[in-house]
Formats: sequence, C-alpha cells, structure tokens
Amino acid sequence: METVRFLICVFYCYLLAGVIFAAFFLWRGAAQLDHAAKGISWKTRVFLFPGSAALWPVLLRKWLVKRN
Amino acid sequence: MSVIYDPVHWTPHKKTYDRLIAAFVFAYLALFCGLQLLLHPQITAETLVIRATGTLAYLMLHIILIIGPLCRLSPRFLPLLYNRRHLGVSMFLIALVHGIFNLVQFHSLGNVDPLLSLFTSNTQFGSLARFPFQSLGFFALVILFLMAATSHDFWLKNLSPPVWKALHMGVYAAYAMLVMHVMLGVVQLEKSPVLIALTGAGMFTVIGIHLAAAIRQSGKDQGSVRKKISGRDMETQQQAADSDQMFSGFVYACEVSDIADNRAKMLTISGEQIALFKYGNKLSAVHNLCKHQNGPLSEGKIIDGCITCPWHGYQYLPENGQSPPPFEEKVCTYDVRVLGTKIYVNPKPYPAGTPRPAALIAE
Repeated sequence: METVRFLICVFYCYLLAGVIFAAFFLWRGAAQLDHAAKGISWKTRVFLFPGSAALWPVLLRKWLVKRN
Repeated sequence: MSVIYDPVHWTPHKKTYDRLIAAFVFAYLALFCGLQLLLHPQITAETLVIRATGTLAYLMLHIILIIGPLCRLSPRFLPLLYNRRHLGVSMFLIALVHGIFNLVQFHSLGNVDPLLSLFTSNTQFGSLARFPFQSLGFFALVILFLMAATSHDFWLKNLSPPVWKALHMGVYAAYAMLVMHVMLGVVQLEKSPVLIALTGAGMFTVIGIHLAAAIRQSGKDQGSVRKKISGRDMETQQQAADSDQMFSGFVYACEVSDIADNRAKMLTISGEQIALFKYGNKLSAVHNLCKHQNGPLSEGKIIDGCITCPWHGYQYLPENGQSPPPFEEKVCTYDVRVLGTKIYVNPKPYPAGTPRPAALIAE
C-alpha cells in the first residue's frame, strides 16, 4: 500500500513537472530545438502540449544538448 | 511535409476521412445505446457511457490494427491507411472517456485518491477469476496516450523515426493488455459466452490477418529477391559485362513491360528494398522506404513529376531522391541500366539525395 502510494506520488510529481516544463518549452524551447517550430500557431502548441508534458526528460536533454 | 508545423495538414481526403470516422462513431453510439436501453431498461447513464465507449474504442483499435496488414494484402485498402493517425487519436479520446468514467464511478466516491484506489482496492493478482483487470486498462491507456500525444510530425522528427516507430509499436503491448482487460472483465462481470466469443473472434481476426500479410510479404520478397537469372539472361548479362564494364555489379531486375507507366516495381536485392520507377521513357531507382513513416514508395506513383508516397503524400524527385524545395527529405538512389528490354539495377546505394541519371528506354 505504501509503495503504491509512493509510486503514485512520484507519478503526480512527474506530471506536474511535465506540465510546467511543457508550458515553458512550447513558449521558448521548441523553436530552438527545431527550426520548423518557429512561429507555430497556438493551436499547434496545444497539440504538442500533452506530448511535451509526458516526454519532458527527453525534450529537456535534447534541448540542453542543442543549446550547448 | 511542412516547412512550419501546422496543427493538422488538412487535405480534402483527410476531411472526408474524418467525417466518416465521426459518422461511424455517432452511428455506433446510437445503435449501441439504443440496444442497451432495450435490453437493460434499468441501466444507469454512467454504465451506458462506460460500456458504449469501451466497446467502441476496442472495436476501433481492431480496425486500426488490421488496416496495415490489409493494405499489404490488397492496395484497395490503402485509402484507409492515409489518415490512420486521426483514427488512432479518435480511438484514444473515446478510450479516455471510458477510463475517466470508470475512475469516477468506481474509485472517486470515497476519501482515497482515485489512482490509489484503482491499484489497491483489489490486489488479487494471483487469481485469474478476480484479477484486477482495471489496472491493465490503465496501463494500456497510458500507452495509447503516448501514441496519440506523439502523433504529430514534430515528434517523428524530434524523437527520430526509429524511436518514434518503436514507441508506436507499443500498440501491440496495449492491445495484449486490453484483450486481457476485456476478457477478465467480461468473465468477472458479465459472464456472457457471446461477449467472450466476440472478444476471441476479434483477437483471432487481428492475428490471422497479420499472419496472412506476413506470409504474402515473405512470398513477394522471395519472388523479387535477386530473380534467378535464367540461362539467357545470364548470357546476355555476361556478354554485356564482358564487352563493357558498365554492367559490373548490376543485377537483372525485370522487363521494361513489367512496370506500368508512372508506377514502380519493388525489388529486394542483397537485402536492399528498392523502388524502380518508370516514367515516360525513363527509369530511376530509389530506396523503397519513405523518410516520413517508412511508407512503401513502390506502391505510390509519379504525380507532377515526383514519386509520391501512398501513405501521406511525401514527394521525391526520381532522379535524385530529394523532396522538391523547400522540403528537405531525401532517400538513397541507385544506378539503373537498360539493355534492350531488360532492366538492370545496381543494389549499391548512393547517399540519400545523390543525383543519378535516369536510364533511357530505347524507342
């Protein structure tokens, strides 16, 4: 029970971090990572939001590599 | 194939496809709800929604899974493939409604976190008859979410095609979990032999069509693998090679008349999948797999002078394998030679986008 509670807590923290990251990434980072994402519409950003929130560690790593 | 990403790259075909999906969804929901109300007049609205969305999403998943192999069995099904991602996203949204209603109805009414309740209210993992089948549905829904959320071309490019493809192959893991989810759920809650038989029939249909397509593809590959050069071909090729080194490394592919105008023949030579196109009096060869989603270019045709992928319309110029500007996709090219009516292809690929002169067919 406690293990499950802990894992669910980790899951919620991951999601929260993902939502915060996705908002920032789609505002600034997406265009830096991929030139085709420059000037994308808010509708496209909405489409990319769930994936950005779910896969934020992957995007964060790629973004940092690109910046460096 | 966009310079800047659009939310959806609409085409008339996609709009028609989406209208058909919407019509199918509404027709199914109306029919299912009507039947349920007729057979179970006491049914609650929540249960009706759970059953209708669950069965609809499960049915749509079967359709999604069999579209690919059906297209390999017959090109008549290709129009179903062109916009399969919209069908997939629609299926996920319907499955999500099913999941949310389940979570609300069965796990949100107490003072325990709904997810905690989902995983701890039943822990009889060792019992088949009481297995917590809802947890299987949850994990399958997570996989379907990842697939739907990464269905945009942005993800294909930024995750890289192999990673993206591997992620989307997760549909089979999700399907396996959903088969168990449905089977166990039906066994535990419904106990209806008809529903068990329907679930089994769906599973055997998916497996059967996949097996049929694999057998068909295997036969095709063997047929086109380095067509055994007949005595005469060998002689012709040998003579040509002896008299002129230009045929060194080339392999007999087919007769000129074997390929329809503006169409291609798929060849598998030394493990290379090659699409050999005939257009006007020219012949060019490029790698068979589209850079977008590995669509089979040999099943496409030449439109406006470009090889056009049958899946999503990505285009390449036949003589250099490059997408016309401003697009940047490129596929490998190959050398082609013609001797009389016979076509020879060198299976050694040139780097993607390398211009190679088209072979000319003698009038």
